[in-house]
Amino acid sequence: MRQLSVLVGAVAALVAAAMILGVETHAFPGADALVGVLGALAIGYAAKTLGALGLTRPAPPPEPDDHD
Amino acid sequence: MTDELHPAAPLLVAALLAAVTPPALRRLLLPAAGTAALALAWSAPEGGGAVVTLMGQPLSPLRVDALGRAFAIVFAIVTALGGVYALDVERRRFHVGAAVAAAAGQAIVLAGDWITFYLAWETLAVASFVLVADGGTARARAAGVRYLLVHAAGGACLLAGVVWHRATGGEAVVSALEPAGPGMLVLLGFLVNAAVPPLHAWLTDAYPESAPAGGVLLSAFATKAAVYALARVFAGTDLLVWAGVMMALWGVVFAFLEDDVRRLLGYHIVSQVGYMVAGVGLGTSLALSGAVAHAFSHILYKGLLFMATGALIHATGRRRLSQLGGLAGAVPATLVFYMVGALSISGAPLLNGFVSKSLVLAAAHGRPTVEWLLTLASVGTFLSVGLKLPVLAFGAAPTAAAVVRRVPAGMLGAMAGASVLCVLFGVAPSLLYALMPAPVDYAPYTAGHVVETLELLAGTAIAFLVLRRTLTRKATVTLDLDRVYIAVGGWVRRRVAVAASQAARAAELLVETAVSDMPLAPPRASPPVGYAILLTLAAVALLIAARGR
Repeated sequence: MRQLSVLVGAVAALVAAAMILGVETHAFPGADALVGVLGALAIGYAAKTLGALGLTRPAPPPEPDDHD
Repeated sequence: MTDELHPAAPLLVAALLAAVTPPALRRLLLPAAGTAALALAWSAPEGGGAVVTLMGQPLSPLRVDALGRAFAIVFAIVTALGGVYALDVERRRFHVGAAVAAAAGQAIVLAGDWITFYLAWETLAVASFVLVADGGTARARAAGVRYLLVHAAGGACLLAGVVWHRATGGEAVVSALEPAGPGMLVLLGFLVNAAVPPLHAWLTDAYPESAPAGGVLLSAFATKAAVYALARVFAGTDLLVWAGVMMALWGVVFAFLEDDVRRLLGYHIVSQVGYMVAGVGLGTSLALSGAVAHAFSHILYKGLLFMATGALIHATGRRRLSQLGGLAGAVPATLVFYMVGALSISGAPLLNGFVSKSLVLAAAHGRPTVEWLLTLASVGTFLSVGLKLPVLAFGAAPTAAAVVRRVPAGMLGAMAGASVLCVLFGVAPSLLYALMPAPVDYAPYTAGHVVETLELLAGTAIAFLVLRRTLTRKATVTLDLDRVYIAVGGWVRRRVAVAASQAARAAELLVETAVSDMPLAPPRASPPVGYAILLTLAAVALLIAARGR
């Protein structure tokens, strides 16, 4: 968990710095691929962290419907 | 003569007929009425239409301009496709609810005055409740009631704002308002329908509980009617830029957690509507066209995604990624159609999502923070919808889900139709541009932009290879702000119950005392009037407080 938080924090700081410095998303060749990799990791691990914080619960069992 | 016929008219006739016709005829009504509405919306001449006066208020139910027409056309298309998708559905309540919802959608986007607009707005809420409850389970009915309560609250804000606006000399015509005073109440009503966090929980709560065909139509109307309303009334409101950015990110983060396929797509409605809301907030001609184009595209590709996941649910009887897997060989056509929708929502070239998302991002180009964050949300979209869902549902799994029912021809036909439209508007952006409220001068297919987009998608796919190892097949429900609502709702419910109980007892004592002090009163049991009144009030308060399950 600690490693994930550090990673998410690092990526978020990187993105924030780029935004503050006004770096364009397409600043250099391959920049968009890098945004894709880092962004996906940030979103994925942010979601995992939220899940670990208890923002999920066990799904209820399926119910029968009244359809014919 | 048809010039003055409202596109909602054939849909209302279909709703009436659906209530009395046998199933064999009933199932044909929605596609036919949707097609008729499309023809009427397409051919209606621009203008304010006829004005009628009701109790001194001017009503103009058919105002046609480019903004309204774009929404009316795509609403009619998804109605017709949804009708084809539902050809095997016999339930009367579905067909009546769907036709009324579609008619209300047309009435909202073509309403020229606030009263017609409000009535159509509330009609859509009631019809959508029917479509949610049509899921047929106890959970669907409960989610439908919650949907109705939330939208009744939003509608009350809208009504209060409209009454205040008119009482202070505001115009009867639906037009731009300042987000202050009455305008703030109107804006709040719109934001509820647009599912802007923290007012979004109704969407991920309700849509997954509907039947597959109901989900297709639900995904089209309520939030996009709100986008239309925001574009019409609050274009250029900077608050909406940040609301939209928050929505775009909120949706993709929580979607990645989600196990229920249609809740996952529900979070992506929140995210995609975020692009539209941000575009409306930016307010430039390009941004507004981008918002409208993205709403148009979204209705098509999100409808397609709901159709494909609905087909999966129909075929397997399962709705959770933890219960699905290994289905690529069993339902190959559904997989192909799903991927068209998934790549479109991810903004892949040659599909309509690429064109419309590019418009919004291009409009945000002068604001790097907004552009960055919307690009990040785009990464998250591909991560969940383009990679996680298809890999877990269709890819190899330890225990593959069994197909227990074939996917009907109507479902396949509707998915094929939606796929064709996604490709058509993707390869020929001029067709989409022609429907926009302002001329669009933007070329999405430059070598640089296509390469950048492909890079972004490739980078996301590489990261998914890392993230895939962390994915677990756990049957969970994502709560996000539901956790807060449940906690607050429980606290309020307990407090209200105690207070209501004490107040009821006090009222009983008062009534008993009053009755016993009457010297000539005949002896009889004291009527529990106070108790009944307070119990009713408490029940209403409980319903509102018990947003949590």
